[in-house]
Amino acid sequence: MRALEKFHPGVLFVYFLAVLSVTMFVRHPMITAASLLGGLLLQRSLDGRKRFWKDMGFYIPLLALITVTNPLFSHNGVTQLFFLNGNAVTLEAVACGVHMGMMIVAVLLWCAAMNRLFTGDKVMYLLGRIAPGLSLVFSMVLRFVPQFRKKRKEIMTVQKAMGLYTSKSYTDRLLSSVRVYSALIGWALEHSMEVGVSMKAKGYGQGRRTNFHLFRRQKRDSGFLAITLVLTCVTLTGVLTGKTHYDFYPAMDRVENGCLWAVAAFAVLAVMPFILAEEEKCRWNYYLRKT
Amino acid sequence: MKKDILLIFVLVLFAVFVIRGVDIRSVDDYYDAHPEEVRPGSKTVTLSIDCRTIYDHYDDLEEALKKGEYLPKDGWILPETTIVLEEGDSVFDVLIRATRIYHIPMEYQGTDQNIYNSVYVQGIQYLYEFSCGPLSGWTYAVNGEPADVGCSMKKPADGDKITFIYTCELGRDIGFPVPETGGNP
Repeated sequence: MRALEKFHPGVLFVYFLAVLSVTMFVRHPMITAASLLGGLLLQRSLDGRKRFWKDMGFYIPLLALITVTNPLFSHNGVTQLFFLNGNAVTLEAVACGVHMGMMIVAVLLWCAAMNRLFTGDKVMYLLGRIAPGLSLVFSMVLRFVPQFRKKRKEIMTVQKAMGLYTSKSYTDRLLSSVRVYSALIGWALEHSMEVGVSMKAKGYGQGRRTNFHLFRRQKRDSGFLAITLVLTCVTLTGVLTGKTHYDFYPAMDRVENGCLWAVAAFAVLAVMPFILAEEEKCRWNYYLRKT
Repeated sequence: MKKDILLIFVLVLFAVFVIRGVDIRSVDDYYDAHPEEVRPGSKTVTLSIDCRTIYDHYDDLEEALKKGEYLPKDGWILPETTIVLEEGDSVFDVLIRATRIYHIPMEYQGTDQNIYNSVYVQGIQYLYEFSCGPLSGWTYAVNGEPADVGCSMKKPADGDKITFIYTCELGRDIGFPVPETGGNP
């Protein structure tokens, strides 16, 4: 994980910006699939197997939900499968739903990875001088979810110690988690007030603040940045010349061979961090064995 | 345990409620309607579906619709056809019967889904509202009279001529009166 964490914040920022914007704004099944693949591999590499599959327990139902929802609202398409309450359910709408779900899951995966690698101190370093207020809020928002999660675990542990959660009944357990959430919300509201007071006491908003960092540009930063920029430019050339134009309605387009180079460039871009992380892991294991 | 049983009961009740409201039909089943025989004495109307205007605004048409043979070259999705009028039929009932007889895909918004308490036809034959510029969509006329109410509220009489027309300019291009308030591109 150090392999990616040690990159200069600017380089990481450019990388995530490129991958996320291509994933969000280009509607092409192969681009989306490449992004999803890269996101999955990176996530698998950053998290252990256990955490990865736990997260999949959220992403896979989400994908299924979006897939099922789209044909309920969109009835366009030439391949009618069956009629639901007088409206056609079409293969095209299902495919478009799968594509939309994949895109959303990919964006979520990349955001999760970004959360891990592009930490609050990096945000402050990069944007602190340009937009101090915004970057402060952004870094606080980034911190919020993990903090929320931690606190939830704390409350649950305390409640378990108090002898709750012993019932085998599913209903009781469901109600217990509701109780935990109500405690959590109360805590969050109170906490946000306290944070405000505390930050005021520490002199935020009084004037410019400096921040401490140890980031230095290294040779590998330039290399990574150059590769990122080249691959992004190749992908964008494909996008802007309309090679990656793809329509789901009324009939799904065939994937033309002409777009493959753009897709390949983006796929390399998306898989790059995974390769770097795995290479580092291999090297680490190799050195361990040597000693 | 008692609570669990109660929960399962509620879930099952919910599932039954959802499934009862769902009507699934196969494609063949849906398009199974046949044109009724015109007997002497039975009331009839004629129906035509016309999208000729898109060829005057071809630049505005969605790229996806230009590719295949999705739209008729002459602009008539359904040439003037005689449909048997049943008791209490609205213009929309005639349209949906015709689309089921002649296998024309059609998408509509039900009466409960908008504020006008009337059916709104969103698209016929892959040609949807806004498919040909921001002012495009489907409208209809009875005996050349422009629509003044939703198509499920209009009751046609024997021998009426119903035309569904696609407009690209909020009705201006097909000679319909344009509302004063609407029409902001």
